[in-house]
Amino acid sequence: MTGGTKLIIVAVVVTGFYAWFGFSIPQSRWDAPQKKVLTLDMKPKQLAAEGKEIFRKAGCGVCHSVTGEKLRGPDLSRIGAERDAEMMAAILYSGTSDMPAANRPPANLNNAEITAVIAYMQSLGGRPKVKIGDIKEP
Amino acid sequence: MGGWIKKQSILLGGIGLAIIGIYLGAQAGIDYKDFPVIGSRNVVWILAQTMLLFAAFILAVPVFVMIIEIAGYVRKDEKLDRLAKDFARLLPVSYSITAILGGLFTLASYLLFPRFMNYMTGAFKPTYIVFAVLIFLESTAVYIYWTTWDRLKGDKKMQHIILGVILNVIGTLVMMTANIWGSFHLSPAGVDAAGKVINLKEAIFNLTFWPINIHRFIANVSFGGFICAAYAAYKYLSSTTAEEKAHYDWMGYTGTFIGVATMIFLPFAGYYFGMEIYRFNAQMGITFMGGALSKIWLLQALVIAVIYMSTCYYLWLGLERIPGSEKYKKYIPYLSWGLILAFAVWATPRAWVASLEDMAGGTHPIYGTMGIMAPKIAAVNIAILGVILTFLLNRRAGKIIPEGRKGYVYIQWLLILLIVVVNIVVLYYSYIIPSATRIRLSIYTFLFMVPAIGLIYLFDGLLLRGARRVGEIQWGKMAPRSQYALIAVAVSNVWAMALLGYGRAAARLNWHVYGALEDTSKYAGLPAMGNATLVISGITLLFLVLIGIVFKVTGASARGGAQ
Repeated sequence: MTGGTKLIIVAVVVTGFYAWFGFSIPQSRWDAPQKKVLTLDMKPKQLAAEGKEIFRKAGCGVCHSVTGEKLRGPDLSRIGAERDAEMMAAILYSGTSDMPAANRPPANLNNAEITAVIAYMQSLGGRPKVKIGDIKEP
Repeated sequence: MGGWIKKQSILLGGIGLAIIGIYLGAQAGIDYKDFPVIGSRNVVWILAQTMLLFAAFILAVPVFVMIIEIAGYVRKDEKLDRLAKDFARLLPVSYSITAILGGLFTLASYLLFPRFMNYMTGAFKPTYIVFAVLIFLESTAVYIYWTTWDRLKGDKKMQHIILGVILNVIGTLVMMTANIWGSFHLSPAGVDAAGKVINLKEAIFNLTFWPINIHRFIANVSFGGFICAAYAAYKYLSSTTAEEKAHYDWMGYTGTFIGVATMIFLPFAGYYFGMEIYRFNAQMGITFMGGALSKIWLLQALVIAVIYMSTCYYLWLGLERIPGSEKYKKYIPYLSWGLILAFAVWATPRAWVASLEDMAGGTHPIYGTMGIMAPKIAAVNIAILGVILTFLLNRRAGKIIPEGRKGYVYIQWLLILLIVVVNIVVLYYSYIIPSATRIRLSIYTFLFMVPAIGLIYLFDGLLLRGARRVGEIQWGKMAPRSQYALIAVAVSNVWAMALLGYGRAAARLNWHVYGALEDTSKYAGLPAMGNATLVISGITLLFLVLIGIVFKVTGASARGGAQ
C-alpha cells in the first residue's frame, strides 16, 4: 500500500467517524418560522392560545419563566395582573438592553402575532382582552 | 516574467468568473435559482467552505514560513532555511487553486442567490474593488517571494525577509477585507430600518469584525501548521532514506509545534467572538451556544478531543527519540486520564440541549438549566493545560537542568495546581450560580488563564536557559503510528474548520443578513445535524484531495528542479 492510499484511508475513517457521530445524536431540523394566520374575528381567548404557541416557538421561554421560576429575564407568571396591554406592547416593540424587540429577529413577529402574545400574557394572572387591531404598531 | 504572466492569468481567470457572476446576478431579475440534485445551498456551501480552507492555508503558510526564515537567518541555520523553503514551495499552486475556487464560488453565489448577492454588491462595491486589487498584489508578492528565494541569499537575505513581511501584510489585509462581508452577515451595522446600508464605515467595523479577524488569523496559522505536519507525515511514510526520514520527522514536529502553540490560544479568541455575539444580540448568542445550534459544540468537543489527544499521543511517542527522556514517561498515564476526564464534561447531559423549544417554559424538568457553557470552558482549560504539560515534557526531556534552578520548577507546579483548582471550582459553581454571574465568570477565567500560561512558559524558559542535552534527538526514529496520528490531527482540523464555518453561517438562522435581509428560499431552515456532518465530511475529503494534488504537483516540481 502506498503512502497516498494510507492517507486516504485515514481521512475516510476519520471523517466517516465524525459523520457517524453526527447521525448518532438526536436529529432535529430547524425550519424557518411560518407566519401564523390570525384573523380579525378571533376571540381574545383563542388569540391567547395562539400566543402561547408563538411564545414557545419564538424562544421567549429561554429567558422568561411563566411558572414563577427565576431565569435570565423577569418571571411573567403574574404579568397579566401587573401590566396593561399598552405597556406590554411598548416593551415588545422597543425591546430593552437585554431583550431584542419582538418585531426584530430572531422572533421577528408581526403586529398580529405580537397581539396574540399580549393576549397570552394577559392570561397569566389575568384575563385575555385584546383583539386583532387593538395594538397599534409604533 | 513568463511565469508571472502565467500565474496572473490563473488569478485573472478567477476574477473573470467572479465578474461574470456579478454581471449575470444583476441581470437575473429573480430572487433564487435552484441547482439540480444537490440543491443551491449545498453548491454554495461546498464551494465557499473549500475556498475558505484554501484561503486559510495560503494565509497561514507565509506566516510561519516568514517566522522560520527569520529564525534561520538569526541563528545562521541552513536547515531552517531549507525547511521554510519546503513549506513555501506549497504556495504557488495553492494560490492558483484558491483563485479558481474563489471565482467559482462567486459565480455560483450570484447565479443561485441573486437577490442576496446583489444586495451585497450594492452595499459593499468599494470593498470589492479593494479586494480585487489586494489579491492581485498578493499573487504578485507570492510570485516574487518564491522566485527570489535562491537569488536573495547571504547578504541579501534581509531583503527576502522584507518581501515575506510585505506578503504577510497583504495576505492579512485580504483576509480582513473578506471578513467584512462575513461578519456583516452575522452582525450587521450601519443599516436603516429597511435593512439598507447607509453607513459603510459602521457596516465594515461591525461588532464581530475584529473577533472574526483575530479568531481566523490564529485558526488559520494553527490549521496551516497541522496541514504541513500532515504533508511531512505523508513524506515520512514514503521516505526510504534515513536522511529524508530525519528531515520530514523534524518538519512534522515543527508543523505540529506551530499548530499546537497557536491552537492553545484559539478558545480564548473564540470566547471573545462569543462575547461580541452576545453583545450584538443575546438571543443569537443563546441560540448559538445553548439552543438550536448547541449540538455543534458537542461535535466540536469530540473533534477537539481527537486533535488534542492525537497531538499528545504523537508527542508522547516522540519522547522515544529523545535520549534521557525515560524519567518523564511516568507522567503520561496521568495526562491521558486528565484529558479524557476534561472532555467527558462536554458529554454530560447539562452541556447541551436539543432545541430552543426544550428551554421554553423554564428549565429541563430533570437536569435543570441546560446548555451551560462555563463548565465546558473550564474543562477545556484543563485539557489545554494537559497539552501544555505534554509540550513541556518534550522540551525538558533529555536536558540537564543547571544547578540552583529548582525554584522555577516549584513555581511551575504551583501555577499548574492553581490552574487546576481554579478551573475545578469554576466548573462546579457554574452549575449553581445565576447565568449573568456565570457569563462574567468565564471572562475572569479567561483573564486568569492567559497570564498563567504565559508565566508557565516564562519560568520554563528561565529553567532551561543554557541547559545541555544528554544526547542528540534521533530525528527519523519515530514509529509509523505517530505519523498516522498527525494525519488524523490534520483531517480533524479541516473537519473542525468546516464545522465551525457551518456553525457561524447557521447562527443567522433564516437570514442572509441577520435582521436586514431575510432568506425566503426553500433552504431557509437548517438541516439535521447528521445531514450537516455528511456535507462537512464531503467538504473535508474534497479539500484533502485538492491539497493532495498540491502536494503531488509541488513534489514533482521539486524533483524536477533538483534534477
